[in-house]
Amino acid sequence: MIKYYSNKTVFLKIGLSLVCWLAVVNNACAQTLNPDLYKWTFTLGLGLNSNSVIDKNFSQLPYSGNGLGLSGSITYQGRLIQQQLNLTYGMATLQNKYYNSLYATYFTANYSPLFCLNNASNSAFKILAGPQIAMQYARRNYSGFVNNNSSFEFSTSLATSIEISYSIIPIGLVLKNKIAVPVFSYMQQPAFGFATFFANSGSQNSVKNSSDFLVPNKFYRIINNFTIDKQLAPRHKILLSYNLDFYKINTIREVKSIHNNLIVAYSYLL
Amino acid sequence: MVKNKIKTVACLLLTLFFLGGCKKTFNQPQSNPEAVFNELWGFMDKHYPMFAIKEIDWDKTYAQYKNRVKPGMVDAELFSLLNQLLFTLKDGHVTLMSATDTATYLGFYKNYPLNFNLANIKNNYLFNDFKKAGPVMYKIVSNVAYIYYASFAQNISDAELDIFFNDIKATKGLIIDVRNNTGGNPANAEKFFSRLINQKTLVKYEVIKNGPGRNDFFEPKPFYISPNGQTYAKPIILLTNRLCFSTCNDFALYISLLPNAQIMGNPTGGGAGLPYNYILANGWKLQYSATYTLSPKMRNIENGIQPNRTINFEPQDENNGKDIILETAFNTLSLE
Repeated sequence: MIKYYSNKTVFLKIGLSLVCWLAVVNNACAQTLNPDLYKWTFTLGLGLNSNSVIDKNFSQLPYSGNGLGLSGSITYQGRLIQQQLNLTYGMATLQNKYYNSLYATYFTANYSPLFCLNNASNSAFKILAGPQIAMQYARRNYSGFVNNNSSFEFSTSLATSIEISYSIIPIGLVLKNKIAVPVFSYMQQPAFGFATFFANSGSQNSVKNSSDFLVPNKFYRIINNFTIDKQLAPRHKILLSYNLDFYKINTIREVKSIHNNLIVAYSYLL
Repeated sequence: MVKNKIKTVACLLLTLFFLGGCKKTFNQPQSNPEAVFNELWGFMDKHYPMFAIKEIDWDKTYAQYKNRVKPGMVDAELFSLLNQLLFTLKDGHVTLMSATDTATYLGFYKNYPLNFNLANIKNNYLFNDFKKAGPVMYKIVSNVAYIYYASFAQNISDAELDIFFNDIKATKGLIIDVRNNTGGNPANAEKFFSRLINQKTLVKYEVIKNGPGRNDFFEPKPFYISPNGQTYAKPIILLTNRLCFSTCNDFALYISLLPNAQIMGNPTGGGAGLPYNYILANGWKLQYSATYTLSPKMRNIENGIQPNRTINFEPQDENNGKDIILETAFNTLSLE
């Protein structure tokens, strides 16, 4: 027998489940998430990146290369949740194997409120999970192309993320890995027959973009961040961070991209 | 116990780290002759917009040429085969470039008389005494202005157009010579045309693909040009030949819309699409038309703009230093 529920009932059940789950999480982590006095962490880092991209509107050949990047984050350690905003900017010159080049820039912004999943009050091992809002903008300018010389992607995704961390207290090291996978995304690209620059744009703006709401079979992205941080002094930390941002767009403008960033950063705790 | 826990966690983190980082770049696509042939055919199948208006059966073309692709064929043979495939499109914007060779369809002008000799014009009509304003040369003879714009790839500024149109404002007619102008930046043609109109004018529609299907197009996009500066409203004659191609073809379309203008010479060469680029898996660069243009009356202009008056050189004319097209235009305006 199939039982049908009205939308109202379903939302009520989901709401109640969330409240119960938050209560459990709160109980488990209330003492854990804020063990010290510092609620705010400000981090700023410089990085080297390695990138590879295939935009099938321009070529099936991968373009790869290295560049520089900046990264910053603000973390708020609340009683119930850890909220983090990460910003990354990178630029690189990429080449295919025939030395055709492109200049790539990208910007990402991720916001995630994370809840503790384990009873970590007596453990150095922590698992946090929660939603993430992940935004990214990538732009590529191709050298030697006449009219269709550039393209871009902009996406905003609702993602699920999980962070696993382990503190090696005697030596003041924390190992942390955070992974996020979008489940639902809004994506903007140039429309099929367009580039971001369109030559016949004298008296009007002829550029057209396409916008889509996409699920993972159309826009698959994985954002992984591995960090080792070392407490230097009560308010100061140094971090070595490795980020991977891979995405694959299966719209009529197919794009695959990998950004690998190695970042050295400094954190100030407040 | 604690040590085991540390090891487990460390292993977990390291696994995630290496899983995440194992993919640094993507695999290279296959670049054997068959793969490149299929890539080129498939890319054009999705992106070339003019199969229907040129009445080309692209599937049949695939069947014709596919059997001629051999696994061991050398680059020169593959290049030649791909060019033969592309030449079936009869499109002067379609070009294939390897590291050592470039091939473009030239049939749009090769089988037609050029009807143009710049040296004759300079020597026998301008007497090597003419003014220049940026990329154009011009002269006023018997109150008729003559201007030659060799290539729309050479940018003309508003200041240069101001100088030119100020110089010719008292003339009774203007001859614009765009023979052998194979196009360039559309903005130059638009800028020039904006000095010849006194109201915002619908000059063309652009047809752009919106998907990989052969009939996937956006609605034709109207394109307008607005007047800029003082308008030249006297009679105008545009001189064209088959080498007036691409942006020049568009310019001839714009001029054909003016009530005070006529076109003399030969039909223009067409090439009304906007060229885009693509790099094949073996590194060869493909240029292709990504759009096509319709006149304000929704007529396809891919095969060129017809002149109001077709004039051809006689063989002895050129040898004698004569330009019968220019003379006809000059005489027409002189009698106005």
